[in-house]
Amino acid sequence: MGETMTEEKVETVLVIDDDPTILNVIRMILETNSYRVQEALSGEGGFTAAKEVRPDAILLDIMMPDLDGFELCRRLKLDEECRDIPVIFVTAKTAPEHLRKGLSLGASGFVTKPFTVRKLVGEVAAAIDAARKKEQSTP
Amino acid sequence: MEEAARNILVIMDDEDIVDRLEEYLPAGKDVKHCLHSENRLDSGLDYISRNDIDLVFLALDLPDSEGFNTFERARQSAYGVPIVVLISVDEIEAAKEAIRHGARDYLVIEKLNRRELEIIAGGAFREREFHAQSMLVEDDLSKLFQDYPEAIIIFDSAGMIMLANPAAESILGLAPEELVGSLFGFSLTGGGHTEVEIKHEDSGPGTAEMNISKTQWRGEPAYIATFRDVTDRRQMEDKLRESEAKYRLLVENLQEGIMAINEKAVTTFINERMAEMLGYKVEEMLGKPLFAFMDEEATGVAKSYIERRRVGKGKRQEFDLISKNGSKIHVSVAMTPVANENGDYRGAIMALADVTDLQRAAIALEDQTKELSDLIDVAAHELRHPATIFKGYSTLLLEQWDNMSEEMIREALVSIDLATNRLAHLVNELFEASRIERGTITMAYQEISPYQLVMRAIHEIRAVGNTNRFNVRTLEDDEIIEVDAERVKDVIYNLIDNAVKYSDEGSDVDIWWERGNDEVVFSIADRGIGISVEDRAKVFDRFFQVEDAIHHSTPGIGLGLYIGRNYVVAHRGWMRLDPREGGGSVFTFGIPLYQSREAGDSEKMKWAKR
Repeated sequence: MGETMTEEKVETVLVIDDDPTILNVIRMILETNSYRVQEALSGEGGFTAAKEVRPDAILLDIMMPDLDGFELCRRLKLDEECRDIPVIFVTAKTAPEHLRKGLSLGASGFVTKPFTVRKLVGEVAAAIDAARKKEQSTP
Repeated sequence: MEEAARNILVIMDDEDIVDRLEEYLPAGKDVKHCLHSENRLDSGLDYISRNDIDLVFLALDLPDSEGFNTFERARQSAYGVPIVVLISVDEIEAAKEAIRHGARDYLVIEKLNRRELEIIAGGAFREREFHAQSMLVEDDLSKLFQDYPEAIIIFDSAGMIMLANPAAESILGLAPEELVGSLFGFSLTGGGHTEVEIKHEDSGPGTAEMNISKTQWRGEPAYIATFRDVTDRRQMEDKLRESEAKYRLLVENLQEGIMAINEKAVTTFINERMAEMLGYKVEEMLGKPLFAFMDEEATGVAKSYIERRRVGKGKRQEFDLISKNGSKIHVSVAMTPVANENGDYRGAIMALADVTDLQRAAIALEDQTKELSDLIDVAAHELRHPATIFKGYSTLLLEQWDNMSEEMIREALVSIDLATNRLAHLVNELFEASRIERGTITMAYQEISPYQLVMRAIHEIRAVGNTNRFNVRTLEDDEIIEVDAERVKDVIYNLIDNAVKYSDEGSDVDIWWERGNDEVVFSIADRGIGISVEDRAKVFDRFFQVEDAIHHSTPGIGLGLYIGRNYVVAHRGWMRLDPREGGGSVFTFGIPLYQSREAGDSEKMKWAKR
């Protein structure tokens, strides 16, 4: 673990949200905490960006007009190239059925709005760590 | 058989005649005659009053009385005693007059003979015997008359009361002796059987049933009136009638329809309300099967309800009745089965309340409740947005200030500031919508030009970073209008904001205004996604958004157009939405040049809610 932390590799996070003001606050928090940020304002745009950028993690809004977060997550997990990228839902929906649905779709974490810096960064870091461990343990 | 004595009085001043009468009077086997004579009328009448006389021979010419008058006086004193008038041949007319007035017969003195006297006396004695017997009956009748509980009054054809029994006092308030000789005061026009007002003994006026029939009294035509006191009965009847009327009134005025059916479910009673509820007349509904006023489904429900009620189950039931014009009336029914003394079902009485309105109200309430909970969802979602912005930036600024560049700090603060505006705008919209709903919004009018209003709106929209191109077509001669400038500016701002929201980024918005008939008409047109025909009718509804607000990031809770239209209507203006030729939408609203000054610059206005 110590080894990976000392490597100066900048991790990229793809943030998908249809509200630019929310994108802005997430971007600033992640950049302040040394992540590189890619943004997408729609579900479809998010899927394309994921395939292009192959980010280390994806922060995904559930409620979007064209393609909602659950559907996008399902498609990402079906995609050969993207299935291992950890997906963290950023949502206003806190109902247990949403959490269950997200987890069943393979989500790595949840961040509910409004969120603190610690919570957002914590979830992202934990998800990336877990994904990396899984990758290392797989032959 | 005991020998009876017959007392004969002769009132005559000629002793020869008296002697001859005594001589000629026949002496029967077991009858003895006692003859007494008086030579004056006064003494004769005095004798009659003191003795039981069987026959009177009366001369019409006496020292103290003459002619028919003598007979008249004697007849009054010797009631029931046969009188035979003794006359001279020249007094034959007076004798005939006496016979017409009740004299038994007459004897002409000059022609006095035994045979005639025998016949006359024999007939007179028989009459006397009959009279004596009838006097006994009369005694009994008299007793009956005295004791009879109903008032009996006999009066002559002139209305003079001749006889009244004691019961008359309790009804008429006068003693019999006071009544006799006074006039019978009741009208006879009502016929033989009428009701009359009487002076009731203690409790004031009362009612008596009066029966009048013709009779004879002492040989004269007369009337007999009987009175039966029916005051108590009448009062009870009145009370019964009153209470019946009360119940009828109650049944007729009930808000509920009342219907009675027999065991075959055929209507036997319908009150006015019931008929009115279905748009029929009472008689149109009577005698019809109950199920004639229902469709198949309701008939099934009603039949099973009736069955359940027969065994005492189920208190109320709701089903639809069909009115005369075919519309459905939703009723709530309470039914009471009616049984005969053997407990057999004989039908039912039903009270039906029209709950169509109630049902509608319940649906409306449901809609409102849903609208309210939708509002709360939308508002919560809208509030979560600024909260996310505030929390995200504030924790960043607090915890990682040192890692942030000055530029980032500035950007964070600007974002917080903008989110604050958006929050304030949301709160303001909620307040305004609430004021509109309650009709308590207050307009503050001032004079301003349309150009100024549009420029203020554009300036504000630029301030939040808008980069669209606004094509403003101005008028050379701009009007000055009297409006609540702040609110009309908000209307314009809102329409421009909408145009931008539903258009591609950076597309043009056209804004112009024209002088109409006593009004200025503003138009705000976009080349955006346009609005479907069905949505066009709803855009001014509360909480309406072309797309469900929750599923896209367009800020707002669907109150902008609702509030805007109401602002304009408060100015006695109008607002509408049309599709724009070549794509997009045009919102147009007209505002009168001047507002009424009657209520001053600041006018509290109420207007119809949508």
